[in-house]
Amino acid sequence: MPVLTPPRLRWHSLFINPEGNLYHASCNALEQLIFDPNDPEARQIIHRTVRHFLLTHRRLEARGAYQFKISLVQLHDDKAVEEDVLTGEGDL
Amino acid sequence: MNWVETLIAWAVSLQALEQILLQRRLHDGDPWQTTWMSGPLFSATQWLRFFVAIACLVYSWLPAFLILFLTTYLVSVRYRGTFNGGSDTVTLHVLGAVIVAQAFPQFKSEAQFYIVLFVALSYFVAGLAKLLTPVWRDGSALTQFLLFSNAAFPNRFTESVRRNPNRVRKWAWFVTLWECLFPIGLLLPSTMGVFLSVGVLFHLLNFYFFGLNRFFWAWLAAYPAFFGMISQRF
Repeated sequence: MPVLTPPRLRWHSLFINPEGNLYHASCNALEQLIFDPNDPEARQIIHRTVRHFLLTHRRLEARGAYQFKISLVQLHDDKAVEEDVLTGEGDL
Repeated sequence: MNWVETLIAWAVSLQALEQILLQRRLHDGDPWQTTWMSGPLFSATQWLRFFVAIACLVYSWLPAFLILFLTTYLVSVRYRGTFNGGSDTVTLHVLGAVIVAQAFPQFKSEAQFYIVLFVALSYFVAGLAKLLTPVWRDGSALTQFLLFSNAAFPNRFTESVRRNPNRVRKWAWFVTLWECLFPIGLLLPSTMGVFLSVGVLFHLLNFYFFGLNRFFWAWLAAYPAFFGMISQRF
């Protein structure tokens, strides 16, 4: 399974970095989901954002059905505690 | 304030251009299109924002900065929060001060000092929070940030830094002390040049390691206010 990373930084990314900053913006919806996992608008925003990233990522060529899971990982005394925030599926 | 006005207009023009390009790249619909401002209306506001910002590069005009403030604020409303965290907040505060200076020229110095105080406090509060946080004092917080960087990961510099925890700890302490001591530049203006130079490097590195391009331009727009304040005192 390929590791999806944010878009590679180029020199012009110092001026404009739209895809990279989209990652930041999606955190607003993620924060909302942590407080209210049933927020329908936040869930829909995350679903669409994930789909956009899958469609546009340079390494991903396959198309078809997909599943995703977003987890909150908290570090307590060097131990990672994982909590599922949102799961979803779709079709590219 | 003239350089502040020019640089903040430049920063806003880049932010607007980012939004315009992002709208064109969202193939399968805009993730935020369910909110009240979406689609053609949002694109129109960003085009307006872009052209007004470009105009402000050559001509300083109060109504133009009011438009920039409003269209910048609307972006945060649309995204249910700041699009890019602290950079959006700094942008709004600097624009607000520019508007006050333009609308009330007798308060130009006060508006300039507001920018100076805001930036100094933002660094100091961030540094104090790091100083009081154990994971920042031992360097592990910075290591984790590098591990989950929003920039091109991994790159050889990031790997090198992560393999050397002592170096990371020193970097964390350097940033913490710089931020905590930044207000000293207000009391000793002769040192402000050093603090600001480190600040430019700090934001450039934030871009390189974390992809935070907007922070660089937003904070850079505020820096000329420090030189204006220093020149007034001397």
